[in-house]
Amino acid sequence: VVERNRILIVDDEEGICWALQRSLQTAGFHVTVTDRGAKAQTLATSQDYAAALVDAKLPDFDGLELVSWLQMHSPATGRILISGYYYDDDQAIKDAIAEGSIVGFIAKPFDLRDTLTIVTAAIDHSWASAHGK
Amino acid sequence: MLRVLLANRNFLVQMRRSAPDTVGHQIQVVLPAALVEVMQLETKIRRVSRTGEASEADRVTYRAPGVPNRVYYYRLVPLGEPPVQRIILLIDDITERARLEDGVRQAERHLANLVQCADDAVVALDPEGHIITWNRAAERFSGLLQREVRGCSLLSLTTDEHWPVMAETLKRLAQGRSVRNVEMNLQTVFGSEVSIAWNCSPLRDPDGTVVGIVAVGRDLTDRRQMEARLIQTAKAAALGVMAGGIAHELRNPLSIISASAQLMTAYPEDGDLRSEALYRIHAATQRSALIVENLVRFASPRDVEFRALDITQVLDTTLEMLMHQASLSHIEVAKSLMDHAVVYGSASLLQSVFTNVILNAIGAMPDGGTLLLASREFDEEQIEVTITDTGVGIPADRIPSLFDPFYTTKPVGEGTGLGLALSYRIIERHRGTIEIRSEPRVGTEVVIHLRRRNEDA
Repeated sequence: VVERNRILIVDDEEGICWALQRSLQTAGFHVTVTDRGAKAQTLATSQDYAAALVDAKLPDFDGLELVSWLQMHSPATGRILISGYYYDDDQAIKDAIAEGSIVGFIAKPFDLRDTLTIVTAAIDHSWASAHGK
Repeated sequence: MLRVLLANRNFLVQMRRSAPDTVGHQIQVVLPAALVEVMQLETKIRRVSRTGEASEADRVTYRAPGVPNRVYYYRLVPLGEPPVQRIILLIDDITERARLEDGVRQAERHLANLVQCADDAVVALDPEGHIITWNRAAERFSGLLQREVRGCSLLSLTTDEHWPVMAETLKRLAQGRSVRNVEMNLQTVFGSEVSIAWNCSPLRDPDGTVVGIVAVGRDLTDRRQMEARLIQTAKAAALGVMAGGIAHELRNPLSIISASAQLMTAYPEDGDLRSEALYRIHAATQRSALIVENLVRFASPRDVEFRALDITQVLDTTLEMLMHQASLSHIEVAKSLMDHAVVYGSASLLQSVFTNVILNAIGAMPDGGTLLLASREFDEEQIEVTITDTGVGIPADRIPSLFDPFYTTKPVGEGTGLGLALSYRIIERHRGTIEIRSEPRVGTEVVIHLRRRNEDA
């Protein structure tokens, strides 16, 4: 059973993880943070997350590859790409949304209230898809 | 009455006369009348006769119709006290000597003209370095006229920065050694300075003693301006390639600053949160400032001054700026650099070379790999810098074209094909070498040799 308040943050920028974690925790979420794609895979294998915020450029992984992997192995997790590299009108982002590998995109720098809205929407969306609604 | 009393044989031969039709005849008959007139012979003879003093030696050119010009040297010497009755006319045909003198004078003028009209500064100095001649190009470069600088030491016109090099150069020249292609800037009368590459040689007398110095200087301004434009073009191209990486690099600290401020606004009562947020804002601001500073340093036109520099430091600075670019492609960076390696060159030019080569290496490893920067002492004169990637490699038939301008395998907008062409020219200017070895699917190695000292090749 997916707990609807468990969130995974994957970013090698410690300060960004701190701000996101702080903001989401206050909103009632249970947040796990990691800085590597491989560690995120391990975590997602042993634990179901309602949403995952994945940085596009990780030291060991391309963020788009990681969300595709999550789509395969943890389809009920709401996958959000977070990036200072892409824009939301970049073809790579449009393609990822069209393919369903991500359900949300957050451009850096971000508004924490928007982030919360996107996370909540992603959780609802994925929950609905996973339960065939 | 001006009558010839005696004529020697030489006179008769030169004037093509015999003794009977000379001795006892009027001088106006013996010598051509026109010559007597131009010599003002009658006036001069009267004066010598009256004063008893020999006339000044004089020289006259005689033009007889249909005969080549003749040049005579003559003098009148009195015999006895005034009023002198007998006078010796010493006259010599110096046509041939005059012709030779004219030739020499013309050759001198011709040479002086060549020196005057040369595009390069041509300066003659005494062995101590004081200016003797200063041609028009030297006047143009410096704005100082020959009469203003004659006698001044060339050292006194040298910029403070190049003063030690000039002093050393003059010392070498005084010891009889030549100096080739040394850059020493002069101060101009306009308050600016002019970049000049000098070739200097000692002048020796037949015994081998140094009696002077000839210095020929070429104005590097035009070449500099063209190079500066090319470097800017190549930098612009590199910046285009780097833009995505730079944006990413800046947006991370910006995100931290923004999010920290938002958290402080949302929870104004939380003192611990405020302290932590402020600390993070401060750190992220400093990081952003550094990114911007590096960027501006790279992008802005800088001097291309050559000096002794630590190549390890140049490599480290370059790498620091490109680290993020490398990490975006999951490239591992390894370094095997000498602690301290001095080469003679321009830090900003060499940074352009390393930036281009490293960006190429990163571009060759889209799926990650290892970038290795290594340096070592190649020999007494050279330091070797090697930049190796484990990327896609270059087919053997393409290697000869790599240094051609506008040769690129990158898609339009991603490369100008100027990077390596420019790098080649820059290394050439350092009198070094750059070589590329590559094997498809194994990687590429760029080997650069740089000179440790500014000495003749």
